[in-house]
Amino acid sequence: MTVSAGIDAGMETMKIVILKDEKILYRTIVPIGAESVSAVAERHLVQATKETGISLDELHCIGGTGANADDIPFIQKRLSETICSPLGIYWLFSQVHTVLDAGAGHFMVLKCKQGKTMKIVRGDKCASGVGISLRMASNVLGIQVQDMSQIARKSEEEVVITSTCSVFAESEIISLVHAKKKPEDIVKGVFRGLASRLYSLLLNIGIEDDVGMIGGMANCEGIVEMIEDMSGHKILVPSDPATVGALGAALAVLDGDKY
Amino acid sequence: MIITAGVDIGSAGTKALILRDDKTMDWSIIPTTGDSSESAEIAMNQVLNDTSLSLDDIDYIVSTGYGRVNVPFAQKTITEITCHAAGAHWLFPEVRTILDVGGQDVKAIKCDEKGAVVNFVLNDKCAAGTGRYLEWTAAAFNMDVGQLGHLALQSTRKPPLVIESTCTVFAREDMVKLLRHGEDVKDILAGALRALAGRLCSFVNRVGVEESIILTGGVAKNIALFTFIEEELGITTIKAPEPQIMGALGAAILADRELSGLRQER
Repeated sequence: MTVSAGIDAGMETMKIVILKDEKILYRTIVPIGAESVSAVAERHLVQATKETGISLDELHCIGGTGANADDIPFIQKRLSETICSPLGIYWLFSQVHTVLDAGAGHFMVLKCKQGKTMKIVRGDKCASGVGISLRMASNVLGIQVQDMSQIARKSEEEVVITSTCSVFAESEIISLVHAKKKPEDIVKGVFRGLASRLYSLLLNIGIEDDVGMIGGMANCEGIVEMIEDMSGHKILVPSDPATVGALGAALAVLDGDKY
Repeated sequence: MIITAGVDIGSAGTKALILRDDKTMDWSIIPTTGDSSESAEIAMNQVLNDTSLSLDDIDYIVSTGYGRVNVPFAQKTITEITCHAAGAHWLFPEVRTILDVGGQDVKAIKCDEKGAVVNFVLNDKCAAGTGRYLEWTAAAFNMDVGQLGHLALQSTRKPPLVIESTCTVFAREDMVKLLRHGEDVKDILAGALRALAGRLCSFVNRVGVEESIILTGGVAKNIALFTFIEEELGITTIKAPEPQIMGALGAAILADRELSGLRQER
């Protein structure tokens, strides 16, 4: 029996995946909040062992990835997202060659072949293309992120958000609300901004079918559909897109010293 | 007596200033409301009250700032770049470079010995180099923007902390992370203000820093930022008595010149 764990400590949430004999035994997504990253990881890993009946000793190896992974001392192997994302997606959809990876704090696009990254285009070090800006818009509008896609479908007159900067866009959205613009039209405008930034990365790397999208933003159907419309390519989204990085980390550590 | 007025409607504050005989000035500063013309009216009424004047007593009014077209009682609008240069030059004739840090934009202006604009650069695209960065930093620690400077100057950490991200949103995440790692708030604030100072210095270097340089705008009230900018540029900057009124002052001065028939280049 081989058991491994992958922890993806992102900017907002931590994802843990436990693999047993190449099957997903357990996966979870928990918020990090103001607590120490290490404490969150430890507590949830212990919880995972309780729920799965696997002891910590049995965990073959623990792989870590994500912006906050360096804060977890018991990670045995620190892996970059350019290793984990393609491994995870290849395991789920072997036909995917172009991967959009957009989480709370990062966005990039990868060209991959059999679970290996061949080319990367990273987004700017600017929050305008990442999930945090979606959350900021959601807070200002008082609409939950998960409800945004459905609301945007009602839009008949999409609003253009002129600011790129998320901070300035936040003020612009407040003004739009004051100007009595409809929430669905504003949400659609917010989606457009994010979708076009992600789409420009796709253009930059060159699309090779199939296209997949992972990371928390892939949960937002409205954005995924918009990128599909803009690019004319179908986008495959796994059932739990935010956990693909953690899955990749759990897969990578199984391969001994390869990574 | 010639009485002119300048009204500067910024994103954060609206300023109205009355200038008598190109000599005596009185002003008011109020937070900008959602409505530019309303803001202009409130600020103007306030300074009229203080000076016991009425709108009819004013010979010429110039409006400036992003809301300048919405001032019904102004005879003319002039861009804030021209106004800032005129205002700074009137107060300090030796000024050649002006760095104006506002709530939503930053301007670096180079002017000649007459106070006319020679060159300028503007950033209103990214919050990381504007006053908004300070507001976000303050919000991350549940503080007032006014508290940041004094705390930051108390930092003695060696080596000083560096905030890695430029983006305001990511920088705040960095700050939260440093706090989690047990770093002291004043050291983190010093890092944030140094980062902003560094960005402002490279921004002002794009027009070329010529002595003397003056720092204006609401953000110029931050004492630590002043110190860090001086350290970075290696020169002393001029401190304006009230850094927020430079645009309104320039507008009032240009109104005076307009009256005297000395047309300023727009």
